[in-house]
Amino acid sequence: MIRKNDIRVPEGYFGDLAERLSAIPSQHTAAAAPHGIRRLAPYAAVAASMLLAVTVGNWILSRTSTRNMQGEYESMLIAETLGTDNLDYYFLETGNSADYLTDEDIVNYLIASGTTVEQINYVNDEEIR
Amino acid sequence: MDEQEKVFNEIVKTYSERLYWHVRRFVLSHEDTDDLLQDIFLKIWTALPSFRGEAQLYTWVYRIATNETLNFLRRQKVRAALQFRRIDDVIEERIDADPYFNGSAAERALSKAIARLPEKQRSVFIMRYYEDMSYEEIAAVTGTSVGALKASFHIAQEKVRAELGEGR
Repeated sequence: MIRKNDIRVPEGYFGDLAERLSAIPSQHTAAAAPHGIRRLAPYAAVAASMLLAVTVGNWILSRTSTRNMQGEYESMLIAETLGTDNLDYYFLETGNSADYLTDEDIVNYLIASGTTVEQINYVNDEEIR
Repeated sequence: MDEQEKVFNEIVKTYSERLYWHVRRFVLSHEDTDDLLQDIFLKIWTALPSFRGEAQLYTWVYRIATNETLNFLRRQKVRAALQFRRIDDVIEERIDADPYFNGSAAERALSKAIARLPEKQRSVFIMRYYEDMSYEEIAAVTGTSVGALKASFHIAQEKVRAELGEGR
């Protein structure tokens, strides 16, 4: 017996729930096994992604030329000298929004690293002091 | 409809409502429970081909649901800590703000006391008190020994009694 008198659910919820859950297979079923020329598709995909990686890698290398690296190095040197704790300073030169962490990135990292809530609270308390 | 889909639909028919109540007791919010159930059943669908009957289906399904729920609660706790909030305050707010809570003040206080228990004690308390599961069933779901579960439940009961006695 399940105790549930203290909680109610919206009218018709469980019928609707079962219907939505039953749709999961059709939403997530893998494609049928390929045949004929489609069997080559995975190999073509690997070859294409390797070619893309080489092309992108060359482009990145050409962008991060000695001149650009020099500029970035100087910015970081200035930041260290001035003792800035503004982390944006290190990232603004790249202008890449992927350098900024989202809250979910941080939560995922903390859980994966086994950081306890007590440790987080300890760090928070240390920062306040 | 293939065999896997037939089995999955049977699982939905048999367990969707039971798992709703199971998850609801942990996460305290109808909307979060609904979201979690989607994730849980997606995981069940994905893992179904690898289920070889080494455990009872009931145990296997509950184990997936409990693990996903506990992961959700851990993320909630970390998120609260990052926002400089105590998880106890977050829990109290959720219970007080729940529009689907239909119980008495005593039942509300009981929910809060249970929500403040450590994870293992909370799990065994919910499964014993609200779902009337046997220790053997809980042991199969959690992978903990019956003896340890009995001890956990006893400690959890004492803590809840103490909290309710203090009138929190």
